[in-house]
Amino acid sequence: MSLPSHLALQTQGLAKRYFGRGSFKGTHYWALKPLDLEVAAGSALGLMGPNGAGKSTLLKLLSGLTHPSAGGYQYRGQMTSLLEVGTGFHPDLSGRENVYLSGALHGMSRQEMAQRMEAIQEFAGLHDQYMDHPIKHYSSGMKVRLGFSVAAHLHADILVVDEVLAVGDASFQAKCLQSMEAQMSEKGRTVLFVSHNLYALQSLCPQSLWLDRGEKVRYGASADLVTDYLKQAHGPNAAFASGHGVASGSGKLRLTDMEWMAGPPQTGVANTLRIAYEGEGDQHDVDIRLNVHGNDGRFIAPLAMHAHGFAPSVLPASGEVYVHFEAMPFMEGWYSVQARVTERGVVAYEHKNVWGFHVASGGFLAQAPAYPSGKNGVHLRQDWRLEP
Amino acid sequence: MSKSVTTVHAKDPLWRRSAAEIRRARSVAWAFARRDLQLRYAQTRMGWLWSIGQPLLAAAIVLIVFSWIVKVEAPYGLSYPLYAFAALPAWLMAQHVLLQGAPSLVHNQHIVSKVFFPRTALPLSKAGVALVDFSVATLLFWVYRAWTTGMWIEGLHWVLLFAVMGLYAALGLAYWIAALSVRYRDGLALLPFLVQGLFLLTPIAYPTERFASALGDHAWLLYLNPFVGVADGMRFGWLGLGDWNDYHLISFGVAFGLFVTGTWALKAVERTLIDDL
Repeated sequence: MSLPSHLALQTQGLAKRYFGRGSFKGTHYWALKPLDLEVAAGSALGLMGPNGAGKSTLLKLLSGLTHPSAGGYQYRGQMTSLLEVGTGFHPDLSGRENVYLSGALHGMSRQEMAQRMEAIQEFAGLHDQYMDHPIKHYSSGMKVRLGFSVAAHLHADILVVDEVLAVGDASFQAKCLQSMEAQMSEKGRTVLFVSHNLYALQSLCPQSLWLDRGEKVRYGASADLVTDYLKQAHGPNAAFASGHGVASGSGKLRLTDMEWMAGPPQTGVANTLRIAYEGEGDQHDVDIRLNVHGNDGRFIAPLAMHAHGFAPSVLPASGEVYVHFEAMPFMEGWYSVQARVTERGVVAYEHKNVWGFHVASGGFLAQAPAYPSGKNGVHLRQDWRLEP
Repeated sequence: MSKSVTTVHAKDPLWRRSAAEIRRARSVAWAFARRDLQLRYAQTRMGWLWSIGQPLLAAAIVLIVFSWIVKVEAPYGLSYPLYAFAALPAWLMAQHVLLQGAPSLVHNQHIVSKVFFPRTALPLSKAGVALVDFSVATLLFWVYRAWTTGMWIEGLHWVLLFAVMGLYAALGLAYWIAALSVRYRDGLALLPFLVQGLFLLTPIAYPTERFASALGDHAWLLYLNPFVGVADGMRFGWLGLGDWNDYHLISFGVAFGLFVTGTWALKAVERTLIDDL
């Protein structure tokens, strides 16, 4: 097997099988089923799929952390995988020493890191004095910035990146994204990118691979895949029905269902969202926050209980709350919902993709015509007039 | 394109180990060793003085327990401290490698599961601090020997040779336990007893002859414990006691065998390490 010169990476029947342990002894399952994949040099490939789809398994295989059960892969040049920001950072070491250590773990010599030190420091936005302080005195943001900065300056022909953009504040995330784009366009690097942030994925990777339950679902243009992925994976009641994704939190209270009571929502038409929850004991000071995201993963609008003046001091153990919209503000398209519920200030339930819904096109106002748009978003009440 | 192509396949032979991999293992080990050295004695009042204090304390314990309480005597009318302390630096080095190296994969799970590097690098890195400590302790003993016996350079080459053997044996054992600990943590539970047992079963604080006489004709069995060879060799080197003993070759063989098979064992678990850890 030889690697065609236009490719940076090729997998042939690459697969990984895990055997059950303990009470599952004798069973096995394929975390990744035989996968054939070709990644052209200098391109970026996005990987999408729900949890347990095999994305991480693929990355672990490619980074050499685990050995394939069948098939194999080949790549040209040096491959660096970035499954975490700041791997190997030690709290008691100075920023500078941590840069050397992290570099060494990724196969970079001290000398190579020394040459890049200034650039790393500048990218992370850290002053000289900080670089000589133990990083335990850093804020978490500073640590993340330094970690990503090291990663961005590693020598690599192929960069495998897992969800690292999920950290840091928005402006630094944007900077990281820009840096990754620059790496591809200027240095001709090939990038494999996994993110639940479909907006980032789509803007960085023209092509994507969609995995589900260890199998390739589709391969193609990211824009098409993202839309279809959201429809399928986060369609109405997807999370509640299929258990897609993983909820976290104390579990004192769980969301169990969401539903538009007046049927499929339509822009400009009144509707009420029913939110059902379950839990144990009296629920004190509950705050439900739902973040609505557009079909490309952008955050669009929050639905927030306390912020809208609804803050009952006690709710029953299980029950329902409602959100009424006089006129549906969401434009036509698919939306996914992220939920975060706190009880007495403690996170009781958190889910990155709890629910999704589709809004049909309609006029913003009863008499107005529907507003056609390729993108989805929200309508703001506005008055147009000839005089102020 | 001039860049090299790397191929990985499910059917790659298990023992394949490239020169690049060995280089990588060394450079990563060096980086970890550097980290350990930098962090050594962080937040202690005495700081680096501890690398002198620790061997002195170990020596004091041996002296109190074995000489004053148990009343062990050194053969050939030698002073007990001179006799017992000769093998102590090498033992302390082996002990450090074992106690730190064997659990190093489990202790550094968060790193091991996120970035690939040859796994021998972690236990190997523990040799860094161990060697620094060994050098300090050896220097102390060297001065002590010169002061009491007037010997300066005699036998130092033997000391070096047997120290290398001790290091290999300790690394080999640490590799094995580290490799097994990926799936079976039992090795780590046994580790303190193993180290304590090795200390007592190795004639460090008492004469080898005592042990050998208990075994009679089968004295060679003793040398299957490579640290017996090390302890013997250290006294041979420092004090000129006994002769070059063919049994030492057994210890050398075991030490080298442990190291080679241990390297393989770690290489073998490397493939499924993060699935099992």
